[in-house]
Amino acid sequence: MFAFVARRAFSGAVLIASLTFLTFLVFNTIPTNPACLVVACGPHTTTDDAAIKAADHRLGIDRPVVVQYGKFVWRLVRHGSLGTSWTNDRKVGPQIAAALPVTASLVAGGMILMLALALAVGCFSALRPRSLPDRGLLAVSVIGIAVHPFVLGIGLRDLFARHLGTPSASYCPIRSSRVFSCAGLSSWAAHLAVPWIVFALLFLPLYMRLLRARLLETLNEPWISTARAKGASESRVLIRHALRNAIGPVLPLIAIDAGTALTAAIYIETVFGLPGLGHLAVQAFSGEAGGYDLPLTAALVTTVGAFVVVLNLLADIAGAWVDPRTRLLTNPKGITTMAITARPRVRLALGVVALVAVAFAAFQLGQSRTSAPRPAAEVRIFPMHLLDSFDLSKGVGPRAWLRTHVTKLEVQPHGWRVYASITNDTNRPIMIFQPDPSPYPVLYPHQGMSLVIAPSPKQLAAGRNQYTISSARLFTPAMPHALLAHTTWTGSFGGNDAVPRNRQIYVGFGTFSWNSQPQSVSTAHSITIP
Amino acid sequence: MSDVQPSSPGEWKLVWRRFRRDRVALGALVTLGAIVAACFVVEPLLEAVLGHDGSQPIPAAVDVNLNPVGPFSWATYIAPDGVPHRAFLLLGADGPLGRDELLRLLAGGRVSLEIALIATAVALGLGIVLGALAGYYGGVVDAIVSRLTELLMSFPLLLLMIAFGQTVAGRFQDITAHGLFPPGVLSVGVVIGVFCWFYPARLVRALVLSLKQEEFVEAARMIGASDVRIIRQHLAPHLAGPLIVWGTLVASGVIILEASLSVLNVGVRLGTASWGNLLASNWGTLLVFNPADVGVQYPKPPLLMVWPALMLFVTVLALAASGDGLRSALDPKERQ
Repeated sequence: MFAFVARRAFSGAVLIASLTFLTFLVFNTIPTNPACLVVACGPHTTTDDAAIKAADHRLGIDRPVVVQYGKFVWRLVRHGSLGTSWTNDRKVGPQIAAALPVTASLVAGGMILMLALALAVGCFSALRPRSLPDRGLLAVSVIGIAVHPFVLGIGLRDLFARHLGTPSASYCPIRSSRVFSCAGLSSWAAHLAVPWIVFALLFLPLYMRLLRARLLETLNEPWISTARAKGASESRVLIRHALRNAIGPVLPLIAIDAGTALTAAIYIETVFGLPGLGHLAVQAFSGEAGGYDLPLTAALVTTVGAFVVVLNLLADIAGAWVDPRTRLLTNPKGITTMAITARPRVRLALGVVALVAVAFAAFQLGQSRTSAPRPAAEVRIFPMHLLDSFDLSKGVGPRAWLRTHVTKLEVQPHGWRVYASITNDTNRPIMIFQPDPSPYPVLYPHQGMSLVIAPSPKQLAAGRNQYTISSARLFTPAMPHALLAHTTWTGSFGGNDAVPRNRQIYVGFGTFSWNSQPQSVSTAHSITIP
Repeated sequence: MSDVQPSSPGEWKLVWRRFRRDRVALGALVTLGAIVAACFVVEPLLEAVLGHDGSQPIPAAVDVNLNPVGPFSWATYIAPDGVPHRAFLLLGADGPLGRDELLRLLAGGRVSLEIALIATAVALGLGIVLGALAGYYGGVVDAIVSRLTELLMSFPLLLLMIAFGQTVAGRFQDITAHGLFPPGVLSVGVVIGVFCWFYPARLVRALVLSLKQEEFVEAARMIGASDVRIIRQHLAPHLAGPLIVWGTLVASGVIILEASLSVLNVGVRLGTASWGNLLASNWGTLLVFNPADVGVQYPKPPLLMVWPALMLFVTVLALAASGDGLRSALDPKERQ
C-alpha cells in the first residue's frame, strides 16, 4: 500500500511538472506582449523600446523558457512562492488561497448533489428500462448539455431569484472574514444552492446515463439471478450486487473530471459572480492589454493539477475497494518500473526521448540568446488634411450635413490613433451611435469610429472582397451620444490593432442619424502606410 | 435443389427492426433527419427563393436604435447589383446588421452539425484505439496512455485552445476538403476532437479492463485467436453500446464548445454563422461577460436568444433519444 501511494505521488509530481512546463512552453509560443501588462503601451503612450525591454527583463521573459521554468520551480520549492501576478502586481499565492475555498465549495457541493441525483435517477431508470418515466428522465437530463452553460446559468439564476427569492449572486464564506459582507453556514449554502444545481445539471447527463447503462448490463448478469435465486431481497440485489459492480468505472471519471470542473467553474463563477479559481482564470486569459498572465496561469495549473493527482489516487483506492478485479493493477512491485527494466527496447526508446528533450532544451537556450532584438516601438506620424462632408438625409427632407476633418494619423506596431474633428453643420442635433458592444468585429458598412482597411490584392484575387475594421476603443475626449446643432467634436480616437502596410486605409467616423436611418460615414480618400 | 432454407435476416436488418419498434427513438430520428434536411437542403432553396443569403446586411431591417425588426417583416435593400429588393424576414433580423435570422439559423446549423460530426469521429477514433490498447495490453502502454490522459484532462482546455488559435489555426483555416466545408470548419472540428478523446479512452480502457477477465475472452484465446481478432471480434461489440451513448452526448457538447471557441478567435470566423456564434452574440461571451452592459447599448429582443437555444436543444434531444434507441437495438443482451 505504501509503495503504491509513493509511486502514485511520484507520478503525480511528474504530472504537475509536465503540466507547468507545458504552460511555460505554450506561453512562449503565443505571440503577445506581456510587457504591455506592466508598462503602458499603445497609441496614446510614448513608451519606447528601452522601457519595453526593461519591463521584459523585470518580468523575466527575456530569458529562455527553460530558465524561466527553472526559476518558477526554484521559487516554488525553495520559498513556497508562486510569484507575482503580471496584471495586478499582487502575490499569486494569497490570491489562489482566497479563491480556492470558493471553487472547492462549488465543485464539492455540486459533485455531491450530482452523484446523489445520478444514483437515484440511474437506479430508478435502470429498474424500469424503456418505460415512460425512464424516457422522461433521460430527456430531462439532457437539458444540462443541450443548453449553453450561460443560458442555463442565467435562466436558473433569474428563475430562482424571482420566484424563491434566493440570493442571485456573490459568495458567502462559512467563517466570517473582512472581505465578504456575510458569513455563516446557512448563508453559505443559500448563496451556493443555485450554482450547485447548475453544476450538477452540467455533469448529470453523462454520469446518469453511464450508471444506467452499466446497471442495465449488470442486472442481466448471471450472478444477479443467482443472488435472486438465493432469496436476496430486491434492494439487497440492487445495492450490494449490482450497484457496487456498476459504480467501478464511474469513480475514476469523477477524479478525472476535476480538471474539467474548472472549465465548468469558469462559466458558473462568471454568471454568479463568485470570486473563485474560474474567475482568476478569466482574469489571466482575458488578454486585454495584449498579453496573458503567466504566473497566475502557472499557479492555477499547479493547483488544479495537484487536485487531479490526489483525487485520482483516492479514486484508484476506492476503485480497488469496490471492484476486486482492478486490484491486480495495484501490484506493489510496480508494474511500470518492472515493465521498463525488463524491456531493453523500451529503455532504449525512453533514452532517445530524453536525449531529444535535452537537445530541444539546448536548442531553445541557444536560439533565444541569438534571437533578434524586438523591433523598435516607434511612433510614425502622418500629418494630413482630409476634408469630407456627408449628406445624412439621403435626399429626403431637410439637408443634414456632417463635416469631418482628419488632421493626423499616428501608427505604432500595436496600435493607431486618428486626430480628427466632426462638425454638425445643421440646426438640428445629430445622434452618434456607439459601436456594437459585442466583441466581434463589425462588418462594413456598420461601424463605429475605426480604421477601415481595404482587402489586399492577394485577398481580392482570392475573391475575398471584405473590408477589415479596426474599431477604436480609446476616445479623447469621450465621444458624446449626440452632436448638438452647429457644434464640433475635436479630439482623437485609437485602436489596439496593428495597421498593415501598403493597404488602402479609410478613416471610419461611426454611424450617425438625424432620423430613423442610421448611416455610417467614412472618408472618401484613402491613406496608404508605406 | 430440393429444399430451400428460410433465409435469416442479417444483423443490421435485425437492428433496424428492433429500432423501428421503438416509437420515441423513431420520432427522434425523424426529427433529427428533418433538422439536417432543413439545414442542408432547405436553406439553399430558401436562399434561391428569397433572393438573399444569411450574410446580406439589410440596413432597413434595423430601427433608429439599431434594434432589429421582429418576425414576419418586409425590408427593402439595395442588392450588390444596384437593384432594390424587398426581402421577407420570417424570423426577423439578427442584430444591428439586419441580417436574415432564419437563414443564419439554418446556415449556422449546417456549420455546427458538420463540426459535431467531424469532432465526434476524431474523438471516438482516437479514444477507442488508445483506450482499447491501454486496457488490453496494460503495462507500459497503459501507463503511457493513462498519464497522457491525466495530463491533457487536468490542463485547462482554454489555454491550449488559445495557444492553438494564436499559432497554427490560421494555417488550417483554408483547408476545406475541396470546398466541401466552409473555411475553418474542418480545423475547428479536428481541434475539438483532438481535445475530447480522453473521455472515450478512459471509458473504453475501464470496460476492456474488466471485459478481458471474462470467460469468453479466455475461450477465444484458448482456441488460438490473435490479439487483434479478440479486440475486434470479441471486445468491440461490447463497447458499441456505451460508446454510442457517449457519442450522442459529445456531439452536443461539441456544439457548445464550438461557441466558446468562437469567442477566443479560434472558432469559425464571424462571417460564417453557427449556432455557437448566434448564441454567443446574444447571451454574451466568457471573456466579455457583463450582463449589466447588454441592455444598455440596445435591448436584445428575447426571441433572438430563444431561436439558437431552441434549435440546439431540439437537436441534442433528438440525438440523445435516437442514440439511446440505437443502443438498445444494438445491444446483444436486449435481443429477446
